[in-house]
Amino acid sequence: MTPDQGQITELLNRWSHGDKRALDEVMPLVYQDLRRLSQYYLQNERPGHTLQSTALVHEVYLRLCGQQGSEWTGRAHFFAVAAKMIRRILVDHARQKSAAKRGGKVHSQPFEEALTIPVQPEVDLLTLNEAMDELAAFDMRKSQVVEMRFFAGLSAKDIAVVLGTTEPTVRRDWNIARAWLYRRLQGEVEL
Amino acid sequence: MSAVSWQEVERVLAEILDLPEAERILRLETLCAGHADLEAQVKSLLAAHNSAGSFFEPPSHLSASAAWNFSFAEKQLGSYRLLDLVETGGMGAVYRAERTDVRFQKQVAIKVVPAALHSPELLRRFTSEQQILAPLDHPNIAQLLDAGVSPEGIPYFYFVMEYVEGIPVNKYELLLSIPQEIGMRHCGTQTGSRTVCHLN
Repeated sequence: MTPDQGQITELLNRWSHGDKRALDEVMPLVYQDLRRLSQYYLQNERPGHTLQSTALVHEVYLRLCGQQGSEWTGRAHFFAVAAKMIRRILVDHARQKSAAKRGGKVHSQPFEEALTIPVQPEVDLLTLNEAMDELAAFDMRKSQVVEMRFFAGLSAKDIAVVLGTTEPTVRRDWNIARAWLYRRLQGEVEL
Repeated sequence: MSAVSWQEVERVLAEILDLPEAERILRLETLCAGHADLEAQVKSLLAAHNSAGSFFEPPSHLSASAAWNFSFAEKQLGSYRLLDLVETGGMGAVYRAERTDVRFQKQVAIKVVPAALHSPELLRRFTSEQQILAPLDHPNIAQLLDAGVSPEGIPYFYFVMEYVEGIPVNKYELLLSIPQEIGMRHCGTQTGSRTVCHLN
């Protein structure tokens, strides 16, 4: 049932103070709620339907953490967790959908169908997901920046808090990651 | 991956992206002097950067934070004057407000949904939320009193509910995005002398 608000806040605080295991504990708690809500949106999918992922994350945050005791850094950390979850949910959804449609053959899922963040319509969610994994293999932080910015709409300021770095670094990471992903999605694979 | 390391590429690219556009190529060529592979890599990413444009960037009208940062306090919406902010949530903000066109000044709660989050789906949900709430008249459900689209120039939807003092508004339910059993569960967890389902 509903995880205790205090429990989530406590876990997020522990995580922001360097306890990596706390993240593993908080993930399932957040995931359950996000997934239920996302599924509700996605089940009702129709042309023109969109998943407002940023709004969704805010809703889940308010439901799970409320307002009190949620210091700003805790909020940023929550959003970082949620970004991972949203990514996973959307990718799973895209896989299932394309599997059903193509009899098992993975086929592209235009991004537009999955969420409102307006990348070019031909960008495929599963391809982007793979590209982000590739990026993570040699530059984890940039992949994380993209994940948080893209799937949960986190600001550079919030991302800097989560990653323990500065805003200019986050902006630089974002620019470079975006260039790399753009080039990768244009079909070039080098680097 | 080619013979060039990502760290090198990244370092050069980061440095030239900090420069004004006109100075980038010259600096790039200086930094990469004698390293043709490195130069090719950075140039290709710089070209990608230049063509990427707004790739991945949520346009500003979709920026949720921009929508949330706008305050309706002291603004007039229809017959209501918004007093102060009670709560913000993913889909909008709730204000305490009062009617200005009647002598009896009953306080109400007004939920304002930014049109920044507008989509045909949201509009549809907003409309059906109104339809669902309108016939409900129960002491434990905040009553829907009125609804509408804000005046021109302020692209918001809003609707008006009975203002119930002291309810934990942070037990925030977005009625139409939450399957009913979840909504009910949360309503059931409200504490206090009166369990209130405030459908904001």
